[in-house]
Amino acid sequence: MTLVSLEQFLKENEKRAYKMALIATRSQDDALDIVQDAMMKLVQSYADRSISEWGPLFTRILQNRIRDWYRSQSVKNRWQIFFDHQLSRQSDQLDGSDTRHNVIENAAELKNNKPENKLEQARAMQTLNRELEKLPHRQQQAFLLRCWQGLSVSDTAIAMKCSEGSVKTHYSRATHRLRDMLKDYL
Amino acid sequence: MNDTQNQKLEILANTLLDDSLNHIDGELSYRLAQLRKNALAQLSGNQTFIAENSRLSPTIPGWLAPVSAVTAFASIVIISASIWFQPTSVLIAISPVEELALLSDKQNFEFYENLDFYIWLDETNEAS
Repeated sequence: MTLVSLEQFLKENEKRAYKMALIATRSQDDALDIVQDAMMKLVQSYADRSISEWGPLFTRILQNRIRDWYRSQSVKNRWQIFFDHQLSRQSDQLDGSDTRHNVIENAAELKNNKPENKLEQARAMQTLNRELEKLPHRQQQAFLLRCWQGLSVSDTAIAMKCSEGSVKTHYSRATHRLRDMLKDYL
Repeated sequence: MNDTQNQKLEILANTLLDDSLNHIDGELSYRLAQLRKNALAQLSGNQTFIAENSRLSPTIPGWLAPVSAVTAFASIVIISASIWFQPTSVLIAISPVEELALLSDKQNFEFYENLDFYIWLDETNEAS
C-alpha cells in the first residue's frame, strides 16, 4: 500500500519538482540529479510517514538539495553567471529572442501557427522563465514556493529554513521585480 | 493597486508554469519515470534494481563468486606445484673445457669427422 501511494505521490509531483530544479540550476542534468536525490531521500527516510506529510517533506528535501547545489556551485558559477548575464543582456538588446532554455518550450506554440494569444503566452512564459532564473536564489525559492507550490508563509519558512519575516521580504522583492518585467502581460 | 497587480502576477505565473509542465516531452517524462522507479526500488528491498544503463548487464549469483575465487586459487597452486616439482631432464652436457679440448685436438677432430666412413669400412672388412 505504501509503495503504491508513494509511487502515485512521486508521479504527481515529479514534473513540478523537475521544473523548480530546472529554474534554479538552468541545467537539465543537474535538475534531474536533484530530483533523483530528493526522491531517494524521501523514500529512504520518510516512506513510513503519513501521506499528508510527504508533500512538505518532499518540498523541504528538494529545496535543501537545490540549496546544496548552489553552495557547491557558488564559487565556480560566480564568473559564469556574470558572463551569462552579460550575454543575455546583449541578446535582449539585439532582438529579445529566445533564451537557450526556452526554444523547445515555445516551439510547440510557434510552429503550429497558433492564434496570437498563444504566441503571446509563449513570449510571456519565455520572459517569466528568464526573469525567474535571474532572481537571487532566495527570492526565486520564496516566489515559487508561495506562488506556484501554494505554501503558506510558515510552511515556506520551514522549507527555506528561514524566518517568516525573511520569506515575506524575499517574496515581496521577487514579486516587485517580476511585476516590472511582466507588466506588458498583466 | 499593488495588491491587484500582485494577484494578476500570481495568476499569470501559475498559469504559465502549470502550462509548461504539459510541454515536457516524452523523453524527459520517461527519464523522470525512471528516477521514480529507482527511488521506489529501495522500498521493495530489491537491491539489484536495474538502472537504465545497466539493463542488459548479466546478474551473477551471489554464491558463485567465492566458489570461483577458491577454484582459481587452487588452480594456481596446482600449476605452481607442477612447475616446481617437475623432474629435470637428463642431459649430458659437455663441459666447455672438454669441448675446447676436442676442438683443439686436430687428430681426434678428423677422426670424428670421418667416423661414418670408418664404421662402413669396418663392416665391409668383416663381411669379406
